Formats: sequence, structure tokens, C-alpha cells
Amino acid sequence: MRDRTPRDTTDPRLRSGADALGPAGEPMPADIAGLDRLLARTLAGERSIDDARLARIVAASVEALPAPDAMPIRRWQPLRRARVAIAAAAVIALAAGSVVTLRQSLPDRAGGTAIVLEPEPVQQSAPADPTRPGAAEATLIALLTDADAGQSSWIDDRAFGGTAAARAVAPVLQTRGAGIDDLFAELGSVFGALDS
Amino acid sequence: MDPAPPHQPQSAPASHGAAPIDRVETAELLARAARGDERSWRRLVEQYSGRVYGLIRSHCGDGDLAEEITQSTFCTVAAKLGEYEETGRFESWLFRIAMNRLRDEMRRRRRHAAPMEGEPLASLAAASAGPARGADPRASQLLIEAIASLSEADREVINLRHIGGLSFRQLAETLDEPLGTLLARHHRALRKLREYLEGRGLDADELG
Repeated sequence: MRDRTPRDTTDPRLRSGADALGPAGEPMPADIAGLDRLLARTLAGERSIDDARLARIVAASVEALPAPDAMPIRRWQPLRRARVAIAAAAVIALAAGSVVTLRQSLPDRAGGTAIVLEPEPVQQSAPADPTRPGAAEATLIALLTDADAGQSSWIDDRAFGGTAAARAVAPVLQTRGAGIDDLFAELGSVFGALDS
Repeated sequence: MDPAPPHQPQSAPASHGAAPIDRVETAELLARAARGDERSWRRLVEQYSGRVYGLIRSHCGDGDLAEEITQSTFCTVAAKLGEYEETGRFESWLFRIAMNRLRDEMRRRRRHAAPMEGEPLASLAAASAGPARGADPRASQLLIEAIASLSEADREVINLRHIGGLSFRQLAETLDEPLGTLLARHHRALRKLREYLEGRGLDADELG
């Protein structure tokens, strides 16, 4: 058992009577200052532990210490800015990865469109079968029937010879807004074929 | 009474014959021990184990049990050292853990065995390392008896202060009480001691 280190009770401040200072330098009421010093001196001997007990306590508790660092630089602590930059880079990489994955999963990549939510609405026309016999004639008759009978004809009889075919296609040409001069040659060949 | 101590001691009382260490050195030792430095930890245990062990033994009166509780206390401190940030309150933290361990053990023992009245008095006297050099043996013996006659709460304050070596501020932190309450408790406990001693013809002021 070793000798312990008691508080310094020889300090003259501790023996100065009223409002003396206690062992830790604290103010002490005069009526208990003497007793406080007596206690300090008497109980100082209680602060002791023998070597065997101390060795056992050290041996047991040292096992609970955190694992030592092999190298001081191993414990890398990034700065706040670096941490923010790393987090931002991670978010950007994640977003880019998501876009690439989404593009690869789309069936139609034509035109460079990344995302197509729904197809463009398409006007549905009546099913037509151009191979059906008499289809062209039926279309022409339908156009002639719909034509306004009271509308004055713009067909120049002198130019087309006032043929029945020229009169028949006149409403069609009028509807589409085509000028007669633009289509003169083509119409001439068509009519020629019809007349023959 | 001004609760703020005007003169804080520069170093804590050493336990094991080791040279006292000041707060700066304590903080450095704690930081190194938290990184796994065994030598620093050994130095800390040497510094504080005697005070913890003495405090526990003064309460339970059993050297082996006091060693067990002290060991448990230091194991807990070592395990939590990585999370601990030293702000000058290491001693309060250490003694709070020790007192909690002691209370838990006393509670456990009370559940499993019949309480033994008067044991603290006998055990404290038997376990005492004896009066300090230069002390009046009769006065010391009477004082130990007087302490044992106190309530557990009063004895706790006396022992934490004079065996644990804590300041009033540290005592308040350890026991989680307002400083004013703690000072009143200490004053009341010492007046009881003085009455006890004066009743047996001993003048504490003369001895002190």
C-alpha cells in the first residue's frame, strides 16, 4: 500500500476562521470549517488501493478501450466542402444513371426522343381497299354526286373541249384549290386517255 | 455563500501515489486513451482508481465488492471513451458512473438478502486504512463512527467530497442536484457530525 496524496490542509487560508476556504478552495462557513478540515485529514487515508487490485482493474478495463489506430492518417475525416461535393457528385451520377437506364428500356429510340408518354393521335380513315374492282369509279361517282349543281363551272370549254370528263373532275380540282394552269399538262394526258 | 469557487485546485488529488495531473494533462490522456493508447489509460486508472475504490468501499464496506464495482466503472468509462468529449467534467462523469454502479449493486443485494442494519458502521471502521499521519486516533475513530451514524444521503455527500475529492460544483454535477441544495446538504451533514462529536466531548474546531 502506497502513501496517498492528501489535500494540502496546511494552507493558511484554511485556518483563517470565518468564511475560510475549503479544501478545493471553496468558501466554507466558519461553523463547519474546522470539522471540514478534520474530515479531509481523516478520510484522506481512504483514498487508497493496493497494487494487486489496481493491476486487475487496469487489465480488465484496458480490454474495453477503443481499438488503437495503426496509423494516425487512417482516420480520414473529409472537410465539410469535400463531403458536400461528394454528395453532389453522387446525386448527379444517380440521375445520369437513371436517364441512361430509362433510354435503354424504351422500345423506340428514333428521333432522339427520350420520353414518349403517349402516341400522337392519328386520324382514323375508313378502311379502303384499292384492289377492289371498280374502286376508282365509285370514288369519282361519289365526288360527282356531292358536287353543287348550282355552282357555276370554271372549266373553259375551249381549252378542254367541253368534254364530259373535264366537267366531272372540275369540282375536285376546285375543292383542292389547284390552279388549272398548274395541272394543264397532266389533265390533258388524263383526259386524252379517258377520251380514247 | 458564493457557490462559485474562487480558487479551483490546479490538479486533482492523486490516488495511487502517482503525481497529480492537471486538467490539461487529463484531457490529453483521455484523448490518447480514446484512440486506444494503453499507457495513457493506465495513467488515468492509477490517478483515479484509489478515489473510486475508497469511495465505494466506504459505502459497501467490502473490499472485494468495491474492487468489482470499481472495475465495472472503469470498464464502462473505457468503453464509452470514444464518445466522450472532455469539457472539464471527467471526474463528475466518472463518479456518477461509480455511484450508479454502487446503487445498482446495493439494490440487487437488498433484493436477494435481508438488510443488515449497522453494517456500514462496522465495515467502514474495519475497512478503514487508518487515520492519516498526525491525526488523533481517538478523534479519527469517533469521526468514523459519526459518519456511519449519518443517513445514507448525508454520508454520500461527505464521502464524495472527502474520499472522492470532488469540489462542490463537481458534487452537484455528480449527484445531479442544484449547487445550493448540495451546499445545504453538506452543511447539514457537518452540523450533525459536530453535534455527535461534541456529545462525546470532542471539539472539532480545535482538532481541525
